Amino acid sequence: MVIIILMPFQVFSEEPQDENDYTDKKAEIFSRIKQAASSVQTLAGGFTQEKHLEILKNSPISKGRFFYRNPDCLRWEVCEPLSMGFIVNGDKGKRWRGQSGSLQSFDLKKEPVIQIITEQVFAWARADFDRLEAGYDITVLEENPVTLRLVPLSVTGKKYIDHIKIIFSSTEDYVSSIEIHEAGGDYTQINFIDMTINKPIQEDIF
Amino acid sequence: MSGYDIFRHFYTFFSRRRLMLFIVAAVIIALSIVSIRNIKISEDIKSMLPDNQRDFTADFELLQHTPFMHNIIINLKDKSNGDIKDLTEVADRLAAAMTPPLFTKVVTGPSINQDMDLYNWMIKALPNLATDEDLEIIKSGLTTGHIRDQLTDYYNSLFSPEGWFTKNFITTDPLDLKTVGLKKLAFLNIISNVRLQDNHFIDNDGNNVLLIAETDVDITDAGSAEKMLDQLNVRAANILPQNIEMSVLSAQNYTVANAETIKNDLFVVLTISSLSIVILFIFFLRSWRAFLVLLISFSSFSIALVSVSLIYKTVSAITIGFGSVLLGLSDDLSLHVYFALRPRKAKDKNHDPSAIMAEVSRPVLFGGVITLCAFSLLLFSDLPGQRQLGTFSIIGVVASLAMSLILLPHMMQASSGGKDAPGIILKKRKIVHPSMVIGIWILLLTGCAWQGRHISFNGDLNALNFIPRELHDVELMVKETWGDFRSSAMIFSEGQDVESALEINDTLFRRLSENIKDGEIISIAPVLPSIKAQQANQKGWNDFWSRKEDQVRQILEEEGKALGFSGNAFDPFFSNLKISPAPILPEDLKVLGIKEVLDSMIISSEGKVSVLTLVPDTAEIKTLMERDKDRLPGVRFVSQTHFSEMIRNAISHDFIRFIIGAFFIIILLLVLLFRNIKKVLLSLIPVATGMIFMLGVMSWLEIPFNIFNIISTILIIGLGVDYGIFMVCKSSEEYEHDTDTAVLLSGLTTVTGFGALIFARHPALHSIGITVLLGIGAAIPSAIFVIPAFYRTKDNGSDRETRLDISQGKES
Repeated sequence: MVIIILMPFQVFSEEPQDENDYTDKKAEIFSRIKQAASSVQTLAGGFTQEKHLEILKNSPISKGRFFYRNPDCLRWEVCEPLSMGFIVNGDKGKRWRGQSGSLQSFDLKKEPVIQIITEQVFAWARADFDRLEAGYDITVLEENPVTLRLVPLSVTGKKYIDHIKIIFSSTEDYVSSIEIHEAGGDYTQINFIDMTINKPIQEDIF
Repeated sequence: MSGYDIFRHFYTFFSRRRLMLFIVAAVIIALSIVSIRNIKISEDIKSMLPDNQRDFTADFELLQHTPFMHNIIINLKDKSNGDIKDLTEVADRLAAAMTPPLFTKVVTGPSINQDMDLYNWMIKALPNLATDEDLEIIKSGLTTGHIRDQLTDYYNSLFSPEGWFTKNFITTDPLDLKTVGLKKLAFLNIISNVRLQDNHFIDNDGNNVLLIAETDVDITDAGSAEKMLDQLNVRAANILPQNIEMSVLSAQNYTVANAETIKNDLFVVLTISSLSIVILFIFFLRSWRAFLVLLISFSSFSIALVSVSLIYKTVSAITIGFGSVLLGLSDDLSLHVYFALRPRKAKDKNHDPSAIMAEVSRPVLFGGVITLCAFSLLLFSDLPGQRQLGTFSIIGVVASLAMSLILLPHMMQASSGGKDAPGIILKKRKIVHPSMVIGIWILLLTGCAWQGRHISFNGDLNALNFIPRELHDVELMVKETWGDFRSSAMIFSEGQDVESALEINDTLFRRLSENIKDGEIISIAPVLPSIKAQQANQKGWNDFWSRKEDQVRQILEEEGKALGFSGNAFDPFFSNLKISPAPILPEDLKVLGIKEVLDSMIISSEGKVSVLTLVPDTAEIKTLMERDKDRLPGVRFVSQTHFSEMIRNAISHDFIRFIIGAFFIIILLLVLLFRNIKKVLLSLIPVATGMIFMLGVMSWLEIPFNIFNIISTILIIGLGVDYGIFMVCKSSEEYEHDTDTAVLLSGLTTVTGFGALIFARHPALHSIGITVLLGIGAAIPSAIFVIPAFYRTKDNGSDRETRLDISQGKES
């Protein structure tokens, strides 16, 4: 209830009769998204990332593309202003930096940071709200498009992340935008563009 | 009256007071049997460590501080290569189910998630930790080019998904100085193949998790250890899915395995030996009176045991075990008295028990006294357990002698009314080809003596433990999966308090670093130097940055600006340079999640603090430590290999001393007894044959000599001399009394009784079995054939009976 009072501008939170209504509605939205995500086998598209950091004079924008294949394949690739990225296939991975940068293999179990990121991407792609709610307090900010606010539950998480804002596509089968707000006020915005769903992805992508 | 007539008089004296003698004997025996219940038995292996050198005890105590030595190591393996999270969840559930009182603590990983905290702590703590060498490394990285590369790297990383993780370091550590500090953490990596994930110890392949548990169950308490392991197995069976396999390694596993093995062994061995002794007695003696001999053995054992318990606070289990072996001697003495006085003889017309006692007491008493003197040498042993064993044996032999020479004759007489079936006795015989017998004997002995030169001594106490195949496999698996973290050599820096111990540890670490590769030293010195060293480091750090700060600030501003960093981006770094951090204390490190490591490496005891350093247990490092002994006061080097070597030296020293001493005393007493050099030398034939044969065969079979073989050797010496005395008396004098049969039966009961231990799976019991089987097995034929052969060579050969004949109790 407190959260709802603190969010007067949010469409969804303006009208709730009581907390039960909100919980029901949230469950319904999660169920809807889960339903839509359940049919997603592959996901591909581009993204732009904008960094708003106190330590930088400007807000650099980077561009890239990503590929996902259910259940455990991911390619995250930054193309501009430099080339870098990583590929995860099961518990194995490869990474590179620079155009001519050679591929370095890694074991996902030994790369905790990439593992956290990968788990997040997979959880969102599958709309695995059980897993997500174990790490975050999730609030529905808007219903159309579905916009969620995630606040980390762990002390360590709170130390670095204030909250994350997730916006779903109108079809609700993929995330169209993410904003990561850090504790000091810095934030990063990632917008996904030209998304294709369930289109075959070449094997060598992963 | 000869000296041995005293036993004639004893016999006559007690003939009139037989009832009183029986009552007194019965009371003493009954009291000793009842008192056995109150004896405190100690299973402490320390009783078998030399106590004449402080080093042994101190090293043994220090070896107990080997990291994880007293912990229960539990490995959970996911056979299906599944998600590591599922495995860690199972580990957590199992840890939660391992509750007091059997389990006092279970650790699945460090106490907190360190990741970023550790990096930030390291950045702040670096002024206290950076040595002059570290500052040199930092200095080499303060060039424009190097700083530009570092900032570019940082800037680029902001575009990667991991960027949020590195952003923090751009402001606080733009030069990446933390890398210098983080390398120091590698020195704390006791378990070399471990990595951390979600606060869990995971192996490199991600298929195993490690749990480290603590328990109050004493490692010598086999009953509680079994209960503890049973409870763990039951709880694991309820929690672990089929794809997850549990392996447990702990001192308690060895205790249970050893206790079970000894229990099974004793069942097998006791069954074989009891049956064989009973069969031998029935076969040879065919009289219930034969069990009077066994009664004497048993009574001597209980009297000796109770007497030892009155002298010492606790009785070593080893004393009891070996004592029973050594008292196998006592049936030898009483058997000779039995054969001399057995009813069949008593019916002889000229039979006079008091006269027989005067005759038989001479070899029996001398055999007993020589054995006693040999045992008395054990009182000079370096091992307290052996000294206790010496006391035990002396009392046991005295009791056995007294009962054999005073009590047994009357028991035999009192029970002479019944009719016994004729027993088996060896027929009087002559050796056909004495020269051939002697020739074969010399050849065999020469071969064995030649081979015996290569006998090796094994001082490893662990080698005397029974390690089942499954436990051996678990040992190997743990070693392969997590590294060999239980067998490093240990170096202790000892001081009156933590600070003084840490100062010594600093000096030690510097010395080791000059000679050993970094990855091979496990030490807290790099992350927890003494306060004195920290203050020196901090002074060096401040001096360094007071000279370098302006230069670095200028480069960072210029290069940072070019990349797009804001003007105040690096202010936190320069602010930190002005802060003088408080000295690092052990408590600070514990907060970082390395409490377990610190607890195992800083040991406080009795007004003393020891800081532990681990190094590979190699000869090179041992040599280095011996060389630097004077330069490193307060430092003590301890290793399993070094300790085994010390034990090995002590054992071989003790053994040589015992053998030389025993032979010297035996020869002296034999000279007093026989006053004839030939008889003395011939009496030694069974001992020498038994010993040389045993050493030769063991060397040939590459069986190393251990502490249990040495103690069992006493049995060969004691019995062998007795055989020699009886056979020399029999061959050279008028002494008869079925000596061959007595020697053969005594030997056979020993060989079958204690030689049955060769079937034991437990290495210690097996060792006794080998010694007895080989030693006595060779001593018997040498006594029965070789000694008479030497007398036969001078004989004119008129009597040519050739068979080792067996008659049904009739004199031929």
